[in-house]
Amino acid sequence: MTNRKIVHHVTRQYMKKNKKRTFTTLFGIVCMVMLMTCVFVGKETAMHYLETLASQDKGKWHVSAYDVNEKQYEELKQVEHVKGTVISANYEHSEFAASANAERPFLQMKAYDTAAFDWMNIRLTEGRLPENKNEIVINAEAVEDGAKIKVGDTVSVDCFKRYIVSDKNDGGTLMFPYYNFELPSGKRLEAPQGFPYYGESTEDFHEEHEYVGVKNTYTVVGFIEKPAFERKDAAGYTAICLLEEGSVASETFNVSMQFDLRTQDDFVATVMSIVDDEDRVESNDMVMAFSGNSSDNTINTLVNVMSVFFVVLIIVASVVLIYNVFNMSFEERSKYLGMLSSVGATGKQKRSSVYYEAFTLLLVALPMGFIVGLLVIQLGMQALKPYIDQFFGAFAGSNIDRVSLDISVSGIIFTIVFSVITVWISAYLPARKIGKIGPIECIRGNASRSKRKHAMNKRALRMFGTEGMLASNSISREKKKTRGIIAAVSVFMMILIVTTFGTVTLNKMITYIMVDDGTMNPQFDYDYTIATNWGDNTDAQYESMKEQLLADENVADVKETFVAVAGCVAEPDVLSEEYWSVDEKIMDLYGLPESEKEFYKKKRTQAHINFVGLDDETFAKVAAATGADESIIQNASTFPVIAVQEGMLSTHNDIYGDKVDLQVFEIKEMTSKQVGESFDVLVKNEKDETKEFGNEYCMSVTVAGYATNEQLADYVTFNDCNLWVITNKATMEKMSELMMKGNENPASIYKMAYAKFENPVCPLNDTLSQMSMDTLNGEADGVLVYSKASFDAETMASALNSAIRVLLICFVILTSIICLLNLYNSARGRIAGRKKEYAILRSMGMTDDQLHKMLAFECGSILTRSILVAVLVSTPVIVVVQMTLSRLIGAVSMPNVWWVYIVAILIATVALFAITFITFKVEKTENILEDIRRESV
Amino acid sequence: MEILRCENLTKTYGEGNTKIKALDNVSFSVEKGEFVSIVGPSGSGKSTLLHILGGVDKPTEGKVFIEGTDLHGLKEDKLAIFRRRQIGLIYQFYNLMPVLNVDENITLPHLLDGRKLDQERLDEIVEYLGLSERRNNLPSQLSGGQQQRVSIGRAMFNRPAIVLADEPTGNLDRKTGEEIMKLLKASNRDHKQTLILITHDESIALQADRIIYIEDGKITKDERIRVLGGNNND
Repeated sequence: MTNRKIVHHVTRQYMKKNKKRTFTTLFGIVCMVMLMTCVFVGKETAMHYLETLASQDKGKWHVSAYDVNEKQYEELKQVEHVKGTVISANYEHSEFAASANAERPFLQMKAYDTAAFDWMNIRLTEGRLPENKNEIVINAEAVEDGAKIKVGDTVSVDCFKRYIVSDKNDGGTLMFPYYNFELPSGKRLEAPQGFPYYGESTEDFHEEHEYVGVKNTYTVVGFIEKPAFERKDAAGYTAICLLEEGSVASETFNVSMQFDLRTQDDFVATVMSIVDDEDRVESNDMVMAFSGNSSDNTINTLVNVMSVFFVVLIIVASVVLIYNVFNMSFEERSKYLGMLSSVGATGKQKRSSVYYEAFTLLLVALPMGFIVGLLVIQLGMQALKPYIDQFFGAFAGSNIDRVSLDISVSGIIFTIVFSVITVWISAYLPARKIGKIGPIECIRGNASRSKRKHAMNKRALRMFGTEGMLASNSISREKKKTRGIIAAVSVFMMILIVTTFGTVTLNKMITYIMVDDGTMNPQFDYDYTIATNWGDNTDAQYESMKEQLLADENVADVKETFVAVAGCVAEPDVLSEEYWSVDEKIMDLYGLPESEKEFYKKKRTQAHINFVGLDDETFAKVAAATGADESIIQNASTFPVIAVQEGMLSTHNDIYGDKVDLQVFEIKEMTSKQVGESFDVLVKNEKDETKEFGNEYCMSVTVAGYATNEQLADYVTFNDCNLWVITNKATMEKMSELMMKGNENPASIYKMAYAKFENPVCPLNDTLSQMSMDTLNGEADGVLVYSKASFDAETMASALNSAIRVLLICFVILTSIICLLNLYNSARGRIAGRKKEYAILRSMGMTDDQLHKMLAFECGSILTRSILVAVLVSTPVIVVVQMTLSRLIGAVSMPNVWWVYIVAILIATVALFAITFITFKVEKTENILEDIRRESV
Repeated sequence: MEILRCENLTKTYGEGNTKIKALDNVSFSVEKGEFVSIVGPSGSGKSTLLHILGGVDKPTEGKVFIEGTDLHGLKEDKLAIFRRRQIGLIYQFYNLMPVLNVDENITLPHLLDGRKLDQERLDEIVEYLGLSERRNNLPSQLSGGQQQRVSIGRAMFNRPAIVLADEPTGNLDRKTGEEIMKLLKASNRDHKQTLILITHDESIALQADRIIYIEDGKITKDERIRVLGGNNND
């Protein structure tokens, strides 16, 4: 047997002898591998699932180009990192003789190549997909609506474009707000996709068809679920035939592409440059964002920063755990290695003992940790699925039954590499230390003994009594043994502090990045919002529904807001100097020359102001909460407003030339108008195109006070580049009067009623639930109803924030396992290693109460030192992160995190005291002698 | 004056076939100021007896009275307090607190009693034990003999009713062992300190006033070799 083999053999024997220690180390390494798996495989699985969820809306493609010709198609196929392309064509509409629904008399004809059916999430309900260009599948809703058609029947189509022709010549414009379509009088315009069928003609307009030359007779081979892109009120049922290579019936067609998104190239820009028309390119932002790629570099950086953030924290937590275990066994290991050293083992061989133990355990832990990691991911994702689906309210009810694991070779390699690095770092220092110690020191067991003398600790004795002195001495005179537990507690606190800070910061960043445009966020506790435009033809329905809500005994509370966004302007001096200086700074970021800056500055002749009117009761509460001037508030004739001073401007609010990366600038003082000062507000009126301040559409409002989001936390909060003011219902009534003066159009003011149900199991709740689904699917007829869940899911920001919060909570829980294991191991090791000391103290007459008091002092001392270490290390980390993020996204003030420290300290305190006292109770033997005779632990 | 009395002490370990009787109906008493050696072969039960007398182990049957107090009738905390005030324990392997220096180890039972540090008494004991130069040393920085002297100082500091020493020289070389015995005898002689000492070294046992022989858990012989209060100088 060679010398090295002997060292390894002895190491194996000691590993067997110290089963508890070996198991703890193994468990720690398994946890570490599990966490690495969760980061690398879990990230891919989660993102893939989110991507799949996101693809339920528009499909699995990343970028689509419309009306592409053959030449452009060939160029698109040659783009670097294209993973695949599918083509489709829109053949417009055709008469559908079999239709039994008078409002849907057409087929909306499309042609897909074979792969496009999957990419566009086309799901069969009956039959099969088309296999040649003469076969077709039709939306099964046609049959549900009574169409007399079945698989095997034939359908003849002759496709046409739909045109809507105005029959009025009054100079007005017909508005179709839900279809984003405006028809000026006397005009003939092509109907947008999904435009409903109102009959051949109405009082105001009629429909004309222009045949495009696509004619064929198709055999129906199957029926499909309603595709996500089809509106329920569309004039035609979707019908899709197979698009064979070279058989496109139209000159142009659509190309959808998937890319290798890991390359982080700007594919949208590439496609735009080929198609040469911005409006004909669409990116599937949701899918791209969850693939770690987005047109905005900031999001890509965020995804990468998060991965690095996770891995670094896991490595730190794991290194401390594994290092601690090796360090705790240092004396025992030094004894047997000393023996081996005395018979010729070299320093290298001694070092190899530590590495051998570490990597043997890693070898066992790798498959275990990986499998456990996959299970955790699977279980975690399955458990979180309902919540994630809920966050993506719009996609809830999708056909994804279970989350499938996404195990890639890169995921496995990253897990292995980072696990090996972690174990190597953990074993390096103990190995180096053990390699340096001579055989005699090892055998005598005084390898780590200090020669320092200590005077009697009278100060501790005087201040904290005998127990305090004993605790103080054991902490300060056994520094090496205490260091491990201090490291364990501090790392636990650091993980909690840094991760919580990271979550809060990332959420704030994402809110800024994704919601850089104006939003008003109601903070009321509500289940549904009903909304309409003031003066709209649905206004009466809204008022009636509000009355019904107020009268229903199952409704706990109804609050109302009146919101005017982009409907009012004021003179530019209403906005503060701070605002205009940030505006200029943004121009500098775009590198505008002085002449251009002056040009844009001169164009700033108006400042947009957004209004939110509150019902009188809520307005009074807001006025009180913000300390507004009561005399102004009470005087309704002055039209009192409370100005929201917090705002933000970003490089994406106004774009000058090529879009630069997002930089956000918080503004602390949006307006410089003083309390009591009045200013004119010009309201938008359809009749008045030549607006000037001081005309009959102006109203003067008076500043009654200022508000911050913090003060408004229970009411409404804002995140906007425009000035928001809060006012009462009377002001909004006056505004609506001016907006509607002399014209028939509704005011640009949204009326919104927020209802909170006390008892959600009631018919009214069911009705609102159904109406909210209709609103979501674009099928609302009249007042719009939003459920809170669907409202929250409206923006990608809230979806991303929710996903990040879920991910980080899971991460904190899993990392806490390592930290708590480390803490438990260190605390248990400390107690177990001092059993003899406790027995001596008991034999000297120390009572249990005194022992507990001593332990409490020890915990207090350990905690104080750990807090110091955690704060000293976490604070610079947080500051560095803040500085980096500020450079990345602009002058955004980071969240105040003092509460994070308090929470982390409290959790660590509870954990340390609980583990110490429970372990002490478990380890304590009634027989003092048994512990006194203990030679070693 | 009787300071310690034990009645029918029995200690058994295990059950059934594995049952071992470490002490079998042991009774004796000790007078104040007496120096008693307990001798016997390994496994005879002498250490068990000493630990029961010191209140760190419990008898299966029987009673121990120190200055009239039924030691094992006391609750755990009361027993701990009694131990730190009335009993001084000296172990073969010293059992000092590794994180306390010489002064702190010696004063430990005194401080545990919540009393103010008696600096005069400490200086006196440290001087007496010849540890003046080592007061700030931790046990790991002391020799075996020095550690045992600290252990003696700790046992003596509170002027206990009785000092129990479990083979105090067993871990020391002959010369150091003799020095330790001198200290113990001097304490017994000068301060009328009652001392019960376990040894299997006959020459040490013979230095006592009385020798109790123990074998298989039973007292086989209880022999007075010196008259109490007589000259027991070397």
